[in-house]
Amino acid sequence: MTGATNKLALGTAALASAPTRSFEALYEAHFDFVWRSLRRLGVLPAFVEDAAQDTFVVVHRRLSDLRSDASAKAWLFGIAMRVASDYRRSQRRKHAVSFDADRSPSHDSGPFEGTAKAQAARVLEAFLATLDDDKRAVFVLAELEELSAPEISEALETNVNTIYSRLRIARERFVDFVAAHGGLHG
Amino acid sequence: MDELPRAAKELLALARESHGPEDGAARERVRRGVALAVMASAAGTAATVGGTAAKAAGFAKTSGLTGAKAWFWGTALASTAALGIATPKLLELRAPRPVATATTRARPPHAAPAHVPQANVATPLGPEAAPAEGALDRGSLDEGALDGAAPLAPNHRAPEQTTPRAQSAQPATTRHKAKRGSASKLGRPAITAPAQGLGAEMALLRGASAALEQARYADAATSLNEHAERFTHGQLNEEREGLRALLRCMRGDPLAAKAAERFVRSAPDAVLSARIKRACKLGETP
Repeated sequence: MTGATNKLALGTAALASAPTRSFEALYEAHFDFVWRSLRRLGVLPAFVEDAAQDTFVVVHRRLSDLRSDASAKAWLFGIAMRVASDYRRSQRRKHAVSFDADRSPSHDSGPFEGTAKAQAARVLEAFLATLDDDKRAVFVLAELEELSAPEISEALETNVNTIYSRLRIARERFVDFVAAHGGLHG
Repeated sequence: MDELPRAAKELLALARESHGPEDGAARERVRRGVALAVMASAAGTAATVGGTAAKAAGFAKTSGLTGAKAWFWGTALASTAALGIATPKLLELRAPRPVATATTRARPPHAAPAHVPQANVATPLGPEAAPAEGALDRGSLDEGALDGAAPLAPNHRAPEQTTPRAQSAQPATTRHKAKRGSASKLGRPAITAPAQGLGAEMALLRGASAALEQARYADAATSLNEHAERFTHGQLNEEREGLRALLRCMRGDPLAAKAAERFVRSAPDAVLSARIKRACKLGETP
């Protein structure tokens, strides 16, 4: 990336104070992650583009806060969480459903991968709607984005023990949910 | 922690890539919207055209137009009529906002932004600024345009309206109804450019940029020279020199490559650097 390349050309002193990751590099690398996160945090499809924009504007403004040793995903997720929270509040005010929770998971177990993926996505979305914000965030980061506990702790500004505790509960509920809805099989 | 049962693991494996953007163009639209918002925020009181940045960003999304300073120096040159398209449209907006995407879609009210531009300043439009809706080409934000604006944080603080919400990472969208400029019909500037200040600088360089896009090299040179003369210590001198380097390359000036290299070396993070390298066929910066 141009930004990253240019940063390497700077002297050490400049690097010590300058953000070590460029906005453009973050945007390119993590746009999909931010989008997915916003959706999984309850932003409706109709609003996710706006929410993504809002998120990246904040990212741009706060880029100098991102430490060189910090997880970019964790940092971005923290911002996305706050944006998503605002959107969910607004969606509730407008009586919109924050998740497509009214779409119950289909039991159509078609043979094609695309159908299975779509069904998995529906089951996941329905499950996420049942979680509170804290557990949802932990579950998304741990089970879907596969961040480490320290990264999740950093993203959510919560100690690791609390992360583990929330994750354990969220996983238990996920197992029960999948069993109750038949998973991917009819 | 115990392993998940197989069914749960299978479902997660299938769902892991779900909920991503389905529309391949969404990435670009969001990029442009961000650039617009960043510009509006950076320009602050001086340079936001007479309209809401929120609606501008929203308009940018629906029509593909943008107007951010960062976009402006990276994208405008790649988007032939973008500058000319964006400017008049932005002028018809009511009040400046730092960011939002007031599209035709229903949109939730949002937290107050961290900073809200106050002034409405438009720029004069030449007849070449006639809008051509939807004609925006893909911008060059992927070439570091926003990187060029990144220094906004450390050394270019837009005026901030600190509210309790602004302390956290609240989205910069806003429902703040800034004062209205004298909105005009499409194509007619509502407010003339100020004689001095960032708004005036942007007007000149915007004109130069538009002229470059239309291969009106003499006009571009005139605008750049005027900027150099009027704004010896201007805020957009780097942008001016970047445009000048670009102009020389586009004109086929035999010394263009040298001037371009000098610019890129002196301003490696400039929004225009990537564009200049390509236009002037420079090698990669080591």
